[in-house]
Amino acid sequence: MNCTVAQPLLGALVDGELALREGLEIEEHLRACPGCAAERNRLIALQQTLRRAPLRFSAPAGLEAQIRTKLPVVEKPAALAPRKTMPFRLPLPWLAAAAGLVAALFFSVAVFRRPSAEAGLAREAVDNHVRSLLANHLVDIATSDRHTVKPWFNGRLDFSPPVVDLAGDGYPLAGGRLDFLGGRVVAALVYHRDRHTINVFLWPDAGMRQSAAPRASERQGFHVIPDSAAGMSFLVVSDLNAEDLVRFTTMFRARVGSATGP
Amino acid sequence: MDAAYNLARWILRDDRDAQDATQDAFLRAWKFFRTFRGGDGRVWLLAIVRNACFTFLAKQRPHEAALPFDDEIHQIEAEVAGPAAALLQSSDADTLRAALEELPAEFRETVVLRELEEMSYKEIAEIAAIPIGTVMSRLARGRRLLQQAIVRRLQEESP
Repeated sequence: MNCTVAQPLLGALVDGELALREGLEIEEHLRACPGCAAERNRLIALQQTLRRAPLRFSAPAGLEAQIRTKLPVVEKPAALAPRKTMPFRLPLPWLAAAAGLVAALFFSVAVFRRPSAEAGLAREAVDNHVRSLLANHLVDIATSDRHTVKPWFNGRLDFSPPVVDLAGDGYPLAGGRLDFLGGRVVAALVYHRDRHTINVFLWPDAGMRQSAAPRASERQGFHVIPDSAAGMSFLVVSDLNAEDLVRFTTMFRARVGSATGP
Repeated sequence: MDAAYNLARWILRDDRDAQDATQDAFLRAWKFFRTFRGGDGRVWLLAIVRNACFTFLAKQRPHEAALPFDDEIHQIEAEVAGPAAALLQSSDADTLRAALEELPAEFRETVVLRELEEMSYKEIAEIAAIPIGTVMSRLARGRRLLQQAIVRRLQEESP
Protein backbone atom coordinates (compact mmCIF):
# COMPACT_ATOMS: atom_id res chain seq x y z
CA MET A 1 0.00 0.00 0.00
CA ASN A 2 1.23 3.52 -0.78
CA CYS A 3 0.27 7.01 0.41
CA THR A 4 -2.15 7.66 -2.46
CA VAL A 5 -4.24 4.69 -1.43
CA ALA A 6 -3.77 5.13 2.30
CA GLN A 7 -4.53 8.87 2.61
CA PRO A 8 -8.27 8.76 1.81
CA LEU A 9 -8.72 5.78 4.14
CA LEU A 10 -7.11 7.28 7.23
CA GLY A 11 -10.38 8.84 8.38
CA ALA A 12 -12.19 5.54 8.07
CA LEU A 13 -9.36 3.86 9.99
CA VAL A 14 -9.72 6.32 12.86
CA ASP A 15 -13.50 5.87 12.77
CA GLY A 16 -13.22 2.09 12.92
CA GLU A 17 -15.05 1.81 9.60
CA LEU A 18 -12.50 -0.25 7.71
CA ALA A 19 -12.71 -3.95 7.03
CA LEU A 20 -10.17 -5.95 9.01
CA ARG A 21 -7.88 -6.67 6.06
CA GLU A 22 -7.81 -3.05 4.88
CA GLY A 23 -7.10 -1.94 8.42
CA LEU A 24 -4.16 -4.30 8.74
CA GLU A 25 -2.72 -3.17 5.41
CA ILE A 26 -2.93 0.48 6.42
CA GLU A 27 -1.39 -0.18 9.81
CA GLU A 28 1.50 -1.79 8.00
CA HIS A 29 1.89 1.25 5.76
CA LEU A 30 1.75 3.58 8.77
CA ARG A 31 4.66 1.83 10.40
CA ALA A 32 6.77 2.64 7.35
CA CYS A 33 5.43 6.12 6.54
CA PRO A 34 5.88 8.93 9.11
CA GLY A 35 3.84 11.35 6.98
CA CYS A 36 0.69 9.22 6.99
CA ALA A 37 1.25 8.26 10.62
CA ALA A 38 1.35 11.93 11.59
CA GLU A 39 -1.87 12.55 9.67
CA ARG A 40 -3.50 9.62 11.49
CA ASN A 41 -2.37 11.09 14.82
CA ARG A 42 -3.81 14.47 13.88
CA LEU A 43 -7.15 12.86 13.06
CA ILE A 44 -7.18 11.03 16.38
CA ALA A 45 -6.22 14.22 18.24
CA LEU A 46 -8.98 16.14 16.47
CA GLN A 47 -11.54 13.46 17.24
CA GLN A 48 -10.60 13.24 20.91
CA THR A 49 -10.55 17.00 21.28
CA LEU A 50 -13.98 17.38 19.67
CA ARG A 51 -15.49 14.67 21.83
CA ARG A 52 -13.99 15.92 25.04
CA ALA A 53 -15.10 19.52 24.54
CA PRO A 54 -18.66 20.37 25.62
CA LEU A 55 -19.86 21.02 22.08
CA ARG A 56 -23.20 19.24 22.13
CA PHE A 57 -26.18 21.50 22.53
CA SER A 58 -28.94 20.24 24.79
CA ALA A 59 -32.50 20.99 23.85
CA PRO A 60 -33.69 24.03 25.82
CA ALA A 61 -35.94 23.23 28.76
CA GLY A 62 -39.50 23.53 27.67
CA LEU A 63 -38.97 22.62 24.03
CA GLU A 64 -40.07 19.05 24.58
CA ALA A 65 -43.14 20.11 26.54
CA GLN A 66 -43.94 22.68 23.88
CA ILE A 67 -43.78 20.07 21.15
CA ARG A 68 -45.83 17.63 23.19
CA THR A 69 -48.66 20.12 23.45
CA LYS A 70 -48.79 20.17 19.67
CA LEU A 71 -48.72 16.43 19.17
CA PRO A 72 -52.17 14.92 18.82
CA VAL A 73 -52.20 12.82 21.96
CA VAL A 74 -55.53 13.87 23.45
CA GLU A 75 -56.39 10.26 24.12
CA LYS A 76 -54.12 10.05 27.13
CA PRO A 77 -53.73 13.29 29.05
CA ALA A 78 -52.63 11.46 32.17
CA ALA A 79 -49.69 9.95 30.35
CA LEU A 80 -48.20 13.35 29.65
CA ALA A 81 -46.15 15.35 32.04
CA PRO A 82 -48.67 17.43 33.98
CA ARG A 83 -48.81 20.98 32.68
CA LYS A 84 -50.21 23.57 35.00
CA THR A 85 -51.36 25.94 32.29
CA MET A 86 -53.51 23.49 30.39
CA PRO A 87 -56.67 23.28 32.46
CA PHE A 88 -57.16 27.05 32.34
CA ARG A 89 -57.14 27.40 28.61
CA LEU A 90 -58.81 24.22 27.44
CA PRO A 91 -61.12 25.10 24.60
CA LEU A 92 -64.51 23.45 24.54
CA PRO A 93 -63.75 20.66 22.06
CA TRP A 94 -60.86 19.55 24.26
CA LEU A 95 -63.06 19.51 27.29
CA ALA A 96 -65.57 17.43 25.40
CA ALA A 97 -62.79 15.11 24.32
CA ALA A 98 -61.54 14.86 27.88
CA ALA A 99 -65.02 14.11 29.17
CA GLY A 100 -65.36 11.50 26.45
CA LEU A 101 -62.08 10.04 27.52
CA VAL A 102 -63.12 9.77 31.14
CA ALA A 103 -66.33 8.07 30.07
CA ALA A 104 -64.42 5.76 27.78
CA LEU A 105 -62.02 4.93 30.56
CA PHE A 106 -64.79 3.93 32.94
CA PHE A 107 -66.40 1.99 30.18
CA SER A 108 -63.22 0.17 29.32
CA VAL A 109 -62.56 -0.68 32.94
CA ALA A 110 -66.08 -2.06 33.22
CA VAL A 111 -65.76 -4.19 30.14
CA PHE A 112 -62.07 -4.74 30.36
CA ARG A 113 -62.22 -8.23 29.01
CA ARG A 114 -64.16 -7.24 25.95
CA PRO A 115 -62.19 -7.19 22.70
CA SER A 116 -63.06 -3.52 22.12
CA ALA A 117 -61.21 -2.50 25.29
CA GLU A 118 -58.34 -4.61 24.17
CA ALA A 119 -58.33 -2.80 20.84
CA GLY A 120 -58.14 0.50 22.69
CA LEU A 121 -55.16 -0.76 24.65
CA ALA A 122 -53.53 -1.99 21.46
CA ARG A 123 -53.97 1.44 19.88
CA GLU A 124 -52.47 3.09 22.92
CA ALA A 125 -49.62 0.62 22.96
CA VAL A 126 -48.83 1.41 19.31
CA ASP A 127 -48.86 5.13 20.14
CA ASN A 128 -46.49 4.47 23.04
CA HIS A 129 -44.26 2.39 20.83
CA VAL A 130 -44.04 5.15 18.22
CA ARG A 131 -43.48 7.80 20.85
CA SER A 132 -40.69 5.79 22.45
CA LEU A 133 -38.92 5.78 19.07
CA LEU A 134 -39.76 9.38 18.18
CA ALA A 135 -38.86 11.06 21.41
CA ASN A 136 -35.53 9.25 21.46
CA HIS A 137 -36.62 7.88 24.78
CA LEU A 138 -36.58 4.19 24.15
CA VAL A 139 -35.19 3.12 27.51
CA ASP A 140 -34.72 4.63 30.95
CA ILE A 141 -32.19 1.96 31.76
CA ALA A 142 -30.10 0.66 28.89
CA THR A 143 -28.56 -2.73 29.45
CA SER A 144 -28.79 -6.23 28.07
CA ASP A 145 -28.47 -7.67 31.57
CA ARG A 146 -31.82 -8.70 33.01
CA HIS A 147 -30.33 -8.74 36.50
CA THR A 148 -29.81 -4.99 36.13
CA VAL A 149 -33.17 -4.23 34.58
CA LYS A 150 -35.29 -6.08 37.09
CA PRO A 151 -33.99 -4.34 40.25
CA TRP A 152 -34.23 -1.00 38.44
CA PHE A 153 -38.01 -1.33 38.44
CA ASN A 154 -38.05 -1.80 42.22
CA GLY A 155 -39.54 1.23 43.88
CA ARG A 156 -40.69 2.60 40.56
CA LEU A 157 -43.58 0.21 40.15
CA ASP A 158 -46.02 -1.38 42.55
CA PHE A 159 -45.17 -4.75 41.10
CA SER A 160 -42.05 -6.61 40.04
CA PRO A 161 -42.15 -7.35 36.33
CA PRO A 162 -40.58 -10.58 35.10
CA VAL A 163 -37.56 -9.75 32.94
CA VAL A 164 -36.44 -12.64 30.78
CA ASP A 165 -33.34 -13.09 28.69
CA LEU A 166 -33.99 -14.13 25.10
CA ALA A 167 -30.61 -13.18 23.65
CA GLY A 168 -29.84 -16.83 22.97
CA ASP A 169 -32.89 -16.96 20.73
CA GLY A 170 -31.91 -13.87 18.75
CA TYR A 171 -33.88 -11.30 20.73
CA PRO A 172 -31.38 -9.43 22.90
CA LEU A 173 -32.69 -7.25 25.71
CA ALA A 174 -32.02 -3.53 25.18
CA GLY A 175 -33.33 -2.19 28.46
CA GLY A 176 -36.41 -1.08 30.36
CA ARG A 177 -38.61 1.96 30.69
CA LEU A 178 -41.62 3.15 32.59
CA ASP A 179 -44.65 3.82 30.43
CA PHE A 180 -48.32 4.56 30.80
CA LEU A 181 -51.01 2.33 29.39
CA GLY A 182 -54.68 1.77 30.07
CA GLY A 183 -54.73 4.22 32.96
CA ARG A 184 -51.79 2.86 34.89
CA VAL A 185 -48.02 2.88 35.00
CA VAL A 186 -46.65 -0.21 33.32
CA ALA A 187 -43.23 -1.71 32.75
CA ALA A 188 -41.93 -1.52 29.21
CA LEU A 189 -39.22 -4.00 28.27
CA VAL A 190 -37.33 -3.32 25.08
CA TYR A 191 -35.89 -6.08 22.94
CA HIS A 192 -34.17 -5.98 19.57
CA ARG A 193 -34.43 -8.28 16.60
CA ASP A 194 -31.86 -7.27 13.99
CA ARG A 195 -32.70 -3.60 13.42
CA HIS A 196 -36.25 -3.87 14.74
CA THR A 197 -37.35 -2.72 18.14
CA ILE A 198 -39.84 -4.67 20.24
CA ASN A 199 -41.69 -3.01 23.11
CA VAL A 200 -43.29 -5.30 25.69
CA PHE A 201 -45.76 -3.53 27.97
CA LEU A 202 -46.36 -5.47 31.16
CA TRP A 203 -48.67 -5.12 34.12
CA PRO A 204 -50.09 -7.45 36.75
CA ASP A 205 -53.53 -8.68 35.71
CA ALA A 206 -54.56 -12.04 34.42
CA GLY A 207 -57.35 -10.43 32.44
CA MET A 208 -55.80 -10.39 29.04
CA ARG A 209 -57.15 -13.03 26.77
CA GLN A 210 -54.84 -15.96 26.43
CA SER A 211 -55.44 -17.95 23.34
CA ALA A 212 -53.68 -21.22 22.74
CA ALA A 213 -51.32 -19.54 20.31
CA PRO A 214 -50.50 -15.80 20.27
CA ARG A 215 -52.04 -13.97 17.33
CA ALA A 216 -50.73 -10.74 15.85
CA SER A 217 -53.08 -8.01 14.73
CA GLU A 218 -51.91 -5.21 12.50
CA ARG A 219 -52.29 -1.57 13.33
CA GLN A 220 -50.76 1.33 11.39
CA GLY A 221 -48.11 -0.97 10.02
CA PHE A 222 -47.14 -2.33 13.43
CA HIS A 223 -47.93 -5.74 14.84
CA VAL A 224 -49.55 -6.03 18.23
CA ILE A 225 -49.91 -9.22 20.24
CA PRO A 226 -51.87 -9.33 23.50
CA ASP A 227 -51.05 -12.19 25.82
CA SER A 228 -50.73 -13.14 29.46
CA ALA A 229 -48.78 -15.53 31.63
CA ALA A 230 -48.23 -16.07 35.33
CA GLY A 231 -50.65 -13.37 36.41
CA MET A 232 -49.16 -10.75 34.09
CA SER A 233 -50.85 -9.24 31.08
CA PHE A 234 -48.65 -7.96 28.33
CA LEU A 235 -48.83 -6.35 24.94
CA VAL A 236 -46.04 -6.91 22.46
CA VAL A 237 -45.61 -4.20 19.81
CA SER A 238 -43.13 -4.02 16.96
CA ASP A 239 -42.67 -3.36 13.27
CA LEU A 240 -41.16 -6.84 13.08
CA ASN A 241 -42.94 -9.31 10.78
CA ALA A 242 -45.86 -11.15 12.38
CA GLU A 243 -44.25 -14.56 12.26
CA ASP A 244 -41.10 -13.58 14.16
CA LEU A 245 -43.11 -11.53 16.63
CA VAL A 246 -45.39 -14.49 17.38
CA ARG A 247 -42.29 -16.62 17.88
CA PHE A 248 -40.94 -14.01 20.28
CA THR A 249 -44.22 -13.83 22.19
CA THR A 250 -44.44 -17.59 22.51
CA MET A 251 -40.95 -17.77 23.98
CA PHE A 252 -41.52 -14.75 26.17
CA ARG A 253 -44.70 -16.27 27.58
CA ALA A 254 -43.00 -19.58 28.25
CA ARG A 255 -40.04 -17.95 30.02
CA VAL A 256 -42.25 -15.70 32.10
CA GLY A 257 -44.26 -18.72 33.12
CA SER A 258 -41.20 -20.64 34.24
CA ALA A 259 -39.35 -17.63 35.69
CA THR A 260 -42.09 -16.73 38.13
CA GLY A 261 -43.00 -20.30 38.98
CA PRO A 262 -41.94 -21.99 42.21
CA MET B 1 -34.67 15.02 21.57
CA ASP B 2 -31.22 16.36 22.42
CA ALA B 3 -29.75 14.73 19.35
CA ALA B 4 -32.41 16.33 17.16
CA TYR B 5 -31.94 19.78 18.65
CA ASN B 6 -28.15 19.47 18.61
CA LEU B 7 -28.13 18.65 14.91
CA ALA B 8 -30.54 21.48 14.09
CA ARG B 9 -28.58 23.92 16.22
CA TRP B 10 -25.34 23.07 14.48
CA ILE B 11 -26.77 23.22 10.97
CA LEU B 12 -28.68 26.45 11.55
CA ARG B 13 -26.31 28.07 14.07
CA ASP B 14 -29.21 29.80 15.76
CA ASP B 15 -31.18 28.77 18.83
CA ARG B 16 -34.59 30.10 17.76
CA ASP B 17 -34.38 28.65 14.26
CA ALA B 18 -33.14 25.34 15.67
CA GLN B 19 -36.09 25.14 18.06
CA ASP B 20 -38.52 25.86 15.23
CA ALA B 21 -36.89 23.27 12.99
CA THR B 22 -36.90 20.63 15.75
CA GLN B 23 -40.55 21.25 16.47
CA ASP B 24 -41.40 21.17 12.79
CA ALA B 25 -39.52 17.89 12.41
CA PHE B 26 -41.28 16.25 15.37
CA LEU B 27 -44.70 17.25 14.10
CA ARG B 28 -43.84 15.96 10.66
CA ALA B 29 -42.47 12.75 12.12
CA TRP B 30 -45.65 12.24 14.09
CA LYS B 31 -47.79 12.86 11.04
CA PHE B 32 -45.84 10.60 8.75
CA PHE B 33 -44.76 7.83 11.04
CA ARG B 34 -46.63 5.50 8.74
CA THR B 35 -43.76 5.95 6.32
CA PHE B 36 -41.42 4.62 9.01
CA ARG B 37 -40.33 1.27 7.63
CA GLY B 38 -38.70 -0.09 10.69
CA GLY B 39 -35.01 0.11 11.35
CA ASP B 40 -33.46 2.73 13.54
CA GLY B 41 -35.93 5.31 14.80
CA ARG B 42 -33.14 7.72 15.68
CA VAL B 43 -31.76 7.69 12.15
CA TRP B 44 -35.23 8.17 10.71
CA LEU B 45 -35.96 11.10 12.99
CA LEU B 46 -32.60 12.79 12.40
CA ALA B 47 -33.16 12.48 8.66
CA ILE B 48 -36.41 14.42 9.09
CA VAL B 49 -34.70 17.02 11.29
CA ARG B 50 -31.93 17.41 8.77
CA ASN B 51 -34.36 17.87 5.90
CA ALA B 52 -36.33 20.43 7.87
CA CYS B 53 -33.09 22.36 8.48
CA PHE B 54 -31.95 22.36 4.88
CA THR B 55 -35.40 23.31 3.66
CA PHE B 56 -35.22 26.22 6.08
CA LEU B 57 -31.74 27.17 4.88
CA ALA B 58 -32.75 27.06 1.22
CA LYS B 59 -35.69 29.36 1.93
CA GLN B 60 -34.26 31.76 4.47
CA ARG B 61 -30.55 31.84 3.71
CA PRO B 62 -30.02 30.60 0.14
CA HIS B 63 -26.41 31.79 0.09
CA GLU B 64 -25.54 29.30 2.86
CA ALA B 65 -27.20 26.30 1.30
CA ALA B 66 -24.96 26.32 -1.75
CA LEU B 67 -22.14 23.81 -1.50
CA PRO B 68 -18.76 24.78 -2.90
CA PHE B 69 -17.97 22.22 -5.54
CA ASP B 70 -14.19 22.23 -5.66
CA ASP B 71 -14.22 18.75 -4.27
CA GLU B 72 -10.58 17.81 -4.52
CA ILE B 73 -10.05 15.94 -1.29
CA HIS B 74 -8.51 13.01 -3.04
CA GLN B 75 -5.76 15.22 -4.35
CA ILE B 76 -2.98 15.11 -1.85
CA GLU B 77 -3.11 18.48 -0.20
CA ALA B 78 -1.55 16.70 2.76
CA GLU B 79 1.83 17.61 1.34
CA VAL B 80 1.32 20.90 3.06
CA ALA B 81 2.30 19.81 6.53
CA GLY B 82 -0.64 19.68 8.91
CA PRO B 83 -0.48 21.02 12.46
CA ALA B 84 1.01 18.96 15.22
CA ALA B 85 -1.42 16.70 17.02
CA ALA B 86 -0.52 18.35 20.33
CA LEU B 87 -1.51 21.74 18.94
CA LEU B 88 -4.97 20.46 18.09
CA GLN B 89 -5.34 19.00 21.55
CA SER B 90 -4.53 22.32 23.15
CA SER B 91 -7.51 24.09 21.57
CA ASP B 92 -10.33 25.03 23.91
CA ALA B 93 -14.07 24.59 23.42
CA ASP B 94 -14.64 28.16 22.20
CA THR B 95 -12.03 27.80 19.50
CA LEU B 96 -13.44 24.46 18.43
CA ARG B 97 -16.98 25.77 18.37
CA ALA B 98 -16.05 28.80 16.29
CA ALA B 99 -13.98 26.69 13.90
CA LEU B 100 -16.78 24.17 13.46
CA GLU B 101 -19.36 26.88 12.86
CA GLU B 102 -17.20 28.22 10.09
CA LEU B 103 -17.47 25.03 7.98
CA PRO B 104 -19.96 24.95 5.11
CA ALA B 105 -23.27 23.41 6.25
CA GLU B 106 -22.85 20.01 4.57
CA PHE B 107 -19.42 19.45 6.08
CA ARG B 108 -20.53 20.78 9.44
CA GLU B 109 -23.47 18.38 9.44
CA THR B 110 -21.30 15.36 8.63
CA VAL B 111 -18.66 16.20 11.23
CA VAL B 112 -21.32 16.83 13.92
CA LEU B 113 -23.08 13.52 13.21
CA ARG B 114 -19.79 11.64 13.28
CA GLU B 115 -17.91 13.33 16.13
CA LEU B 116 -20.66 14.56 18.42
CA GLU B 117 -23.42 12.03 17.79
CA GLU B 118 -20.94 9.23 17.05
CA MET B 119 -23.00 7.88 14.18
CA SER B 120 -21.60 5.23 11.84
CA TYR B 121 -20.93 6.06 8.18
CA LYS B 122 -23.95 3.99 7.21
CA GLU B 123 -26.21 5.93 9.57
CA ILE B 124 -24.87 9.27 8.36
CA ALA B 125 -25.41 8.17 4.77
CA GLU B 126 -29.03 7.35 5.58
CA ILE B 127 -29.65 10.60 7.41
CA ALA B 128 -28.13 12.86 4.77
CA ALA B 129 -29.35 10.66 1.87
CA ILE B 130 -25.90 10.44 0.31
CA PRO B 131 -23.71 7.45 -0.61
CA ILE B 132 -21.19 6.20 1.96
CA GLY B 133 -18.36 7.31 -0.35
CA THR B 134 -19.66 10.86 -0.11
CA VAL B 135 -19.81 10.57 3.69
CA MET B 136 -16.14 9.62 3.65
CA SER B 137 -15.09 12.44 1.34
CA ARG B 138 -17.16 15.05 3.19
CA LEU B 139 -15.71 13.91 6.50
CA ALA B 140 -12.17 13.98 5.14
CA ARG B 141 -12.61 17.46 3.71
CA GLY B 142 -14.56 18.68 6.72
CA ARG B 143 -11.83 17.52 9.07
CA ARG B 144 -9.14 19.12 6.97
CA LEU B 145 -11.00 22.44 6.86
CA LEU B 146 -11.60 22.16 10.58
CA GLN B 147 -7.92 21.63 11.32
CA GLN B 148 -7.03 24.65 9.23
CA ALA B 149 -9.66 26.79 10.93
CA ILE B 150 -8.47 25.72 14.38
CA VAL B 151 -4.85 26.46 13.60
CA ARG B 152 -5.71 29.86 12.13
CA ARG B 153 -7.69 30.75 15.23
CA LEU B 154 -4.97 29.59 17.60
CA GLN B 155 -2.45 31.68 15.70
CA GLU B 156 -4.73 34.72 15.85
CA GLU B 157 -5.12 34.27 19.60
CA SER B 158 -1.40 34.01 20.33
CA PRO B 159 0.57 35.87 17.66
